[in-house]
Amino acid sequence: MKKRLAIIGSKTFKQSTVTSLIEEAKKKFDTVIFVPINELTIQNINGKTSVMYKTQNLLNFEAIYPRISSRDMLLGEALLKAIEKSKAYCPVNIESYQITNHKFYTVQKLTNEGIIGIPSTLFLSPKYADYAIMETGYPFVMKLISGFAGKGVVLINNKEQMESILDAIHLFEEFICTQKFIKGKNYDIRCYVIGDYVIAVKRTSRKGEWRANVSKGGSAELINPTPEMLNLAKKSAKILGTDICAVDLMDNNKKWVVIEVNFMPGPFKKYLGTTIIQEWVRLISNKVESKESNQIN
Amino acid sequence: MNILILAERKKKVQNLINALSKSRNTTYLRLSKLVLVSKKNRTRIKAFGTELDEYDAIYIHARTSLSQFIEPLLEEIEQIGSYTNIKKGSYYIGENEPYLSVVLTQAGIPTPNSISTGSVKNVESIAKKIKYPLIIKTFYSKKLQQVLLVNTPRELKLFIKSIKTEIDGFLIREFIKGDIISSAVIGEKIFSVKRKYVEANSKEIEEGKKHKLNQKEKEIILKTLKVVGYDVARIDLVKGKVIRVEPIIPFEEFSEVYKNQIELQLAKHLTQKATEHEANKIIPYDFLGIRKFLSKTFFAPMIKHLNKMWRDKK
Repeated sequence: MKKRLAIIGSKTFKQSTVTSLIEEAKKKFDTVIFVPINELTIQNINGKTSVMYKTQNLLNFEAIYPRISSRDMLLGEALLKAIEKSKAYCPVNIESYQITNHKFYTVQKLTNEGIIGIPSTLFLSPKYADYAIMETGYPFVMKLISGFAGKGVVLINNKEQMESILDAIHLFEEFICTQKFIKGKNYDIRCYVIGDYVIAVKRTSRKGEWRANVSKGGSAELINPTPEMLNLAKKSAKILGTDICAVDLMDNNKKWVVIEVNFMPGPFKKYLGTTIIQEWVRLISNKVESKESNQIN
Repeated sequence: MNILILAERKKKVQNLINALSKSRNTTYLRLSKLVLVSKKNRTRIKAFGTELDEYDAIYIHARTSLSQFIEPLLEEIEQIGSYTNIKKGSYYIGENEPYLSVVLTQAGIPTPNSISTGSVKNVESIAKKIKYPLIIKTFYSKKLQQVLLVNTPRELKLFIKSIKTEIDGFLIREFIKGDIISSAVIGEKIFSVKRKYVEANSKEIEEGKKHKLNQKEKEIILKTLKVVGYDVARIDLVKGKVIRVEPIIPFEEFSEVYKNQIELQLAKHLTQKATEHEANKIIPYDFLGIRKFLSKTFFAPMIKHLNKMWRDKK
């Protein structure tokens, strides 16, 4: 059986990650192509939908792995919807894309299914900010709804800071999500969920930075996940219906809470080599083979 | 039986409020007065002076650009179980034209041929697949920036040369010459207006004439409503193809042709839905305020479970 994999990248893809992903994928797939999402054409012609790259309809591939961010929403939603009705295996789906790219919606979805997250609020108008902040108290973290890699995240310590930032946000018509700030910890745990398998990484922030993102200068090391971490990570991924994601956890008074779920996690090549990438490719390949053998049976 | 109207501005729904106010318990609340709070093991909707779970029907009148607030709100309204005019996920569809095109095409709903892309390099080759004249729409994020009617390859080249700002996506679709039929749809009731095609433009709704749909047009419109997830919407057709779907009916525009029939029908529809909701409750609604009281206590998970049972029963 011929196995073909299409990797759809974000407009702002990282070349080193893509190169490693293609190299690993070529060990398991006969054909591997990488296409930045903006170069695709999504066609609705005579009642049929196709996703074209040059002359190839990617919906005919055995597997499609979209690694796209919130910046790619316009075509990303259309792409994921098109993939839904195709026979290609895809480790992510449109709902998980929409929810994980919405800071509040992620917490809401998990909370409603019994996974405790950080107290969070969502509101439209700065006029009612006080009403929302009663729920989190100061200090709190203000997040733009679809910020990523630690961008669009501000720590607010008091009312004066809040008022000046709210005025700026309102000008850009952004929705406002606030989350209680968990003090005293300069690290978090990122759990890579790859099907039933979980790889846990401890991320430590650099000195003077309160965000643990590696892209903000933090560092990362592999750890053995505890049963609690495993349970939270797997359950979160299951609720969102995704085979690949990263669940970020923080210690809140000796209890782990979910901070967010990442749709397009970076693989921390600098610290972990190609460990994560290999697992992604292994999962996708196994799923394709399993699908093929189910069809034969 | 209580009905809540949530809107960005009261002015936009004033006629509807008037149509509802005479004999029903109707409340209007500005959308920006809502705050969603997720804490401990549940999410609540905080609203000034009211509780959303008191309402049997919640009518939301908001632009699709507010989807990032509306969708989490719908998630909670679904938990409450009240009727609402929009289904979860439908605002994401309505806000994003390339996404909407795929949804409609996959559902077998006739639409103009269209192609979306993020790269200007693809635009000329796409135009060859879609015959001239064609419509080009440009987007920044999901926001529509520009709509252009392009008649020839030369015009297209000039347009491409003129692009100076960052564009996230292009949607190129065939332009269909013909009268547009704009319909206000409320459940299964449809009010249509035919807008005459005049030299690459169509007349506005208020200048149009009442139109009786044929069976095929009616089926297309009702199927579109269902597929997208709206119970109330504006849908435009041209030569039997869907070219526009929006969750907001522009009442003022339709009123030139239909007077206030649309608001009256919407009021009737909401009342009917509210009545059905009230009749189907497992627990007699807020009997002595018991349900409301219990949902704030230790019994909250039990009340939530009962609400879920009731929704599943529906």
